[in-house]
Amino acid sequence: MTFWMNGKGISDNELLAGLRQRRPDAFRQLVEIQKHNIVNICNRFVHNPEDAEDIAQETFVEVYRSISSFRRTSSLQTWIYRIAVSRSLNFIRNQNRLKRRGAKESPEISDEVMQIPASASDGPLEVLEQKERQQILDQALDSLPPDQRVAFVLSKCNDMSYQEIAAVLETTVPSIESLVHRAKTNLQKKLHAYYRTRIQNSK
Amino acid sequence: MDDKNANETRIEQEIAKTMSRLDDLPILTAAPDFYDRLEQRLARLESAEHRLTARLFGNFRLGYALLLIMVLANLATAYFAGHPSNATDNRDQNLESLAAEYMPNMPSSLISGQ
Repeated sequence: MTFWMNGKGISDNELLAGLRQRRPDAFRQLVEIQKHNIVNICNRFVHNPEDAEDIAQETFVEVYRSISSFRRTSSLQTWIYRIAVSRSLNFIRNQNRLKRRGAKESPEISDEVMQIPASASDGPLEVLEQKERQQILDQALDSLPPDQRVAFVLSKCNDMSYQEIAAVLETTVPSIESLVHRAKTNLQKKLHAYYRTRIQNSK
Repeated sequence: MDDKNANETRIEQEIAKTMSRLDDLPILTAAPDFYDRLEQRLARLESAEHRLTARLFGNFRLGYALLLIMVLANLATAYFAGHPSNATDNRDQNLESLAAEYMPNMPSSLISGQ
């Protein structure tokens, strides 16, 4: 696999050799190439840009420290994505634990929803509606079983192919297809139930 | 019946609109100082670990020093207490000095059994 940066291709091998030699320039290159992808993946799970950046940083710290244990059973990118997903899920687990203990109440409208950039053509009402829809969607996504959620979220991330998702989750392509299909069906069911109640209540 | 159908249609429309948000997800870009903060974070972690290692290593050094002193003391005791020729020599000398003190007329050959 080749990473591209400033029009210059860097192979997995070159980058890996540099990382294993603890060369700061190699690490910097890797971070510059992957940081946006990783922040986006994390944000898809945690729905908060600040938390996503923090988890992305933890991901790179782990990459830096564990590079010697990278066994090359997958590409470097797949390995990094796997760490990012695992870190994001750990973060959600910890957040849920905190919520269960009542230490932190989730806000009515999450910060992430408030930070969705609005397009210039949207009026205030449209912006509000988009934010609300995003919040409803995020909540429905969060209520999916973890394996379905991960497969579905990744399928909507950075144009990842089912093959790449299968590599990240260390499973097969048919299994990913099935997980994504079930996730979509469940998501529609949850949204159906939500809107039905809402429409009935509005009468 | 028409009301029910209208509701279903409205629900389907709402679902479609909400699901379409998935194709319209905002793309985040990492902050410009992302790498600088990462570097600082790594430096902080490494310095914290270095301090911990130094503390552990310091304790180990003290432990090793005490252990070494104890081993040396044991070896010295074993050497002096268990050295047979020295022990015999000391015993004979002690007997001779006792005899000289308490039995001044007895020949020394009798005392030592020779």
